[in-house]
Amino acid sequence: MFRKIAIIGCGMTKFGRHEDKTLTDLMTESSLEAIRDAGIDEKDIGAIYVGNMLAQELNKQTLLATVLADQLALYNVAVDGISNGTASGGSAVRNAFLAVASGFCDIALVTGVEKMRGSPRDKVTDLIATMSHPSEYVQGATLPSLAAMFTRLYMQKYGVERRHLAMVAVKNHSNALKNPYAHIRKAVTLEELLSEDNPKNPVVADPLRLYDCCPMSDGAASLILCSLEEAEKIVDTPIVIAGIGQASDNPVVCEREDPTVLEALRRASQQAFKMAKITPKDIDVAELHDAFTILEIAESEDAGFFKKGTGHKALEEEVTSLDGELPINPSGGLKARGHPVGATGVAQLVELTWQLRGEAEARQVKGAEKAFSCNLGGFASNVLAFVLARGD
Amino acid sequence: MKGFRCEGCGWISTVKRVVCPRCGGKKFQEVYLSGECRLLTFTRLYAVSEGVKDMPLTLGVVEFDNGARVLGQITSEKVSVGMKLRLAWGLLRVVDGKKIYGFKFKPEN
Repeated sequence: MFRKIAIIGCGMTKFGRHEDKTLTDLMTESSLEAIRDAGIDEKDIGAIYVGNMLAQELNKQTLLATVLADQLALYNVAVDGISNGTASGGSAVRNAFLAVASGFCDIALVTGVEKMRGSPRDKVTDLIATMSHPSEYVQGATLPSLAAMFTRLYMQKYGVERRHLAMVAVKNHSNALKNPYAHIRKAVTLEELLSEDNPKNPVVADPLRLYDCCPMSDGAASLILCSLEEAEKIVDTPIVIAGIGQASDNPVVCEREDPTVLEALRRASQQAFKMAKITPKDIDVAELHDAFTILEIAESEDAGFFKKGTGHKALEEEVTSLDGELPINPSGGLKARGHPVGATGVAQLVELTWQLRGEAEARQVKGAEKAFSCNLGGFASNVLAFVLARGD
Repeated sequence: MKGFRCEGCGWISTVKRVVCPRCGGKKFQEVYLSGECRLLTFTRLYAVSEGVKDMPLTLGVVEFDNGARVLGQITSEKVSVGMKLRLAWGLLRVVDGKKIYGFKFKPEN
C-alpha cells in the first residue's frame, strides 16, 4: 500500500514553565535536538508539520510552521500547521507519516508545541472548553467537569474508588521523578491525596481534586520521520511506526450509548493494532492520555489491555507500574510530565522511541520492543492511536 | 426544550443532525422535552471558565422519560444521583461580552 516509516530522531524541551522562551524558541529547540539526534542536516528535511492548539488566542501567533521553517532556512518545502484540539500533536505525526509514506517527501520534521503558562487560568480553561459540543459549552461545561461526571458514572458502574484515582497520580508522579523532562517532579503519597482537607489538593470538580488533573504546561517535542529503507542506512535503531489509527465519537459525551466507553479510542486502537498485525497482549509499554486520573484507567481498558471495568484492579495489582507487566506512562504521563496540549501527542512518541531504543535511563522498561500510545482530542471525541516497534 | 427524534430508531437528541448516529436514519421529527427528568451524574465545578459567574457551578446530566439525555446547569448545589429535576430558564454565561440565556434544571418543589 505504502512504504514503511520509521522514527530516526527525536527531541523535546523540558516541559513546565518557560517564561523566558517564546513559542519559536521552544519549537526550534526541540526540532534542532531531533535533527541532531537523527544525525541529518536540516537541508534533508522535505516537509514540516507543526501541531498546536492555542497559539492564536494565547500567544497571538499563527503560521507557526512557517516561522519554524524560517528558523531552519527551509523555504522550498511544504510546511503546515495542524490543529486538532488536544490531539493536534498526534494529528501532526499522522500527517507527516502520510507525507513520507506516500513518497511525496523522504524525510519529515514534526513538532508539537504549546505555551500556556502566564495566561489567566480561566481563559485557558475556557479555550480548552471550546472542544466540548457548543450545546454543552454554553452551559459552562469544561473538560474537568466532563471528566468529573464521567468519573462519577465510572465509580457507580465499576466500583472505582477515590483511592484508585490517587494511585494513578502516585504512580505517574513517581515515574516523573525519573524523567528530567517532566514538568512536575514531586513525589506524592496516597495518604496526602486521600485526605479530605489537604489545602494543596482542593476540589476542582467533585469527585476530582487538583491532583486528579494534569497541569497546564509550556513545551515542545519533535520527531524526524523517514522511510524505513532509508532509516536503516542513517541510524542503528530505527523505530518503526507499525500502526496508526484515528477515529471519532459523538462530541456530546452524555449522548453516547454507554457514556463510560471511549468508543473512538476502541476504534482507533483496533485500527492501529490491525495495521501493525499485533494484539494488545504484544505491547510492552504504553503512554496513555491521562489528562485526568480516571482517563488512564478507562483508556487502559478501551485500548484493549484490560477487560472493561477492571483497569483499576490492574492498577491496584501494580501491573501498570514501572516494573509491572505492562508499564503505563513511564514518562509520568500528562499528569506529571505535563500537558502543553499541542506537544503532548508528539512527546508520547518521543518517550516511546527512547523506551524502544533502551535510552530511557532510570525509567527504562526492560527489553521493551513494542509500544502503544493514544492522544485524545476533546473528551475522547477525536482519538489517535499509535503502535511503535523496534526495527528488525 | 427542543429535541429531534430519529424516525428510523426513535433516538432523541437536542442536537440537530442530518444523519442519526445510532441507525443512520436521515429523517427527524421535532419534539419537545418537558416535565420531569432524572439526574444521572453531576459535578460541582470550582474552576469555572471565563464568563461563568456561579462558584461552584453545578452541572449534571439528566435523562427524560423518552430516553433523551441532556447536560445542563442545575440551580442547586444540593444534588444527588437519581433525584427528579424540571426545566428552568435563566442566564447561563457570558461569551464575548454577550449574555447567553437558556434552559437549566431545578429540583422539583
